[in-house]
Amino acid sequence: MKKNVFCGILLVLAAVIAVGSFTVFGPCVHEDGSEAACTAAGRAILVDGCLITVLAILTFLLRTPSARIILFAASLCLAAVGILLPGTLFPVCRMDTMHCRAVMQPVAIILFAAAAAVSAGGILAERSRVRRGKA
Amino acid sequence: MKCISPVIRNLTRKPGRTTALVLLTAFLALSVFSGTVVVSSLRQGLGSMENRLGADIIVVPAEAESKASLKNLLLQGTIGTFYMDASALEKVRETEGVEKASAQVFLSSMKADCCSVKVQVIGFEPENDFVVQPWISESLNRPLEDMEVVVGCRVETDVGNNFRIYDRNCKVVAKLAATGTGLDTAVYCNMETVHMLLQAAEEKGITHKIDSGNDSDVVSAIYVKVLPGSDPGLVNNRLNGHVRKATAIRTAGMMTEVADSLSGVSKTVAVLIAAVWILALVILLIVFGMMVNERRRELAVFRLLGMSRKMLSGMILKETALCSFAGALCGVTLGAVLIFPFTTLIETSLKLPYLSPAPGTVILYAVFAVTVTVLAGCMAGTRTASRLSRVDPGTTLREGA
Repeated sequence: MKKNVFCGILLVLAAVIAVGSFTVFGPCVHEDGSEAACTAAGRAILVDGCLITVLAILTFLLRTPSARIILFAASLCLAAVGILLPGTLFPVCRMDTMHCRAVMQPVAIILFAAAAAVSAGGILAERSRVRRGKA
Repeated sequence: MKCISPVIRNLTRKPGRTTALVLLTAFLALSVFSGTVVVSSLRQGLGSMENRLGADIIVVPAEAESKASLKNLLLQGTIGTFYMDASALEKVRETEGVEKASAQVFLSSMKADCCSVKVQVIGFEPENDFVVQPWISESLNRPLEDMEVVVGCRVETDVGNNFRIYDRNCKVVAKLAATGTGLDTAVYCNMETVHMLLQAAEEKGITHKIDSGNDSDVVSAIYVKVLPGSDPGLVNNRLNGHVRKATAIRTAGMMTEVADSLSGVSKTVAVLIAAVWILALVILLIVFGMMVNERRRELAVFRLLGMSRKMLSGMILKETALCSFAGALCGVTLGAVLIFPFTTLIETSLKLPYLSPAPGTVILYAVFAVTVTVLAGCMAGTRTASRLSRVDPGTTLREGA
């Protein structure tokens, strides 16, 4: 139970990112249906969120500490990339008041940062488990 | 560290209880910090709006839906395009009690390539203006030339860049300081430029319903400063009677409305903070009360080992202070994460001018929130500390046996 805390939290965060990226904190939508400058950023957040979700599920299923460390490390990398997605790797709309700037970008950065912190915590927890096992 | 280590050991030995205390105090600090920052930002926004408005009366065309439309334009940057005959400016200047009058022309851009949204373009007369010019002078120390624009702080472009409006390139020569109002999303230019842009809009088939047919014969709003000693209400009435097809609105009334809304929000925030504090303090007292019974035997052993009453109550207070401090830091950090990235969202949701305080002020608020929370935690823990330190070790240990 205790060893699944980190992957549980990671799974919840990743699912929130994936679902939120096309609902609550999705990209801007034009009245005429055309794509906004931030649409690609929204899609990238969705893909990144889905990938972290898959990794979190795999971490739940796998029992080997070394495999779990690798999966947590991959999640950490994806979360770090996620922080850079809106605004750095993918453009967002350039007006401060646009939905993507006011909601999508800050929420995505906060959630990816939290996912990165949880992944790092997971790696440390698994490493201490390995050490305790050896001792 | 030597005197802290047994305290830390006690805290880590009971992680559930420690976490509950940290969470409670975090909640207290979060409410104080975020409440103070939001109310202070709203007050600063109102002050900034008062400073920037500068006019006593605004004359707008009758079809501008008067106050509501103008208030939305100022507070939320809602696009407003309404026009009246430029002769109204002379009539306003001739009115008794008017010291200065300056016209502005409003134009909305198409969805600009910069932002995927329409931008409010405001044309003004640099030579007569007393509303925008003093504000622009802070960022630009020369007159604004044709096809040059000054942008609000929220228009994402840099000085020196070209800003395309209706396929005309305008050079950005300055960026204004934040006001916390809708004016932060506007683009400012001189009258010649705005008339060229009006013409460019018409060439693209966008009509602005100008009755006279001549773009240079229109203004959207006239800002009026009354003579010192004159009654603005009386001048307002004179303007309403003297200028046809136009409505004169007193800015003081608009500011009062905004101040009333702000006062409402401030009261709500204060009530919420008070409710959170009462609730959290009651829970803290209950938690400490439960701790008295739970730790009676443990502290009796400490007394038997030779700890004085003073040392014992000091240890309990240090535990409480440490938990409160950790909780307060978590609360303030969480508050900062929840407030600062979402200033635009808060501003648009409250529909009030919102200007975040300077970093130094924010640090002061954070220190205040941490201090108040630690003090509250310590006060709640003092009673428990004194009760536990009075425990008679012999009786307590015999009771448990």
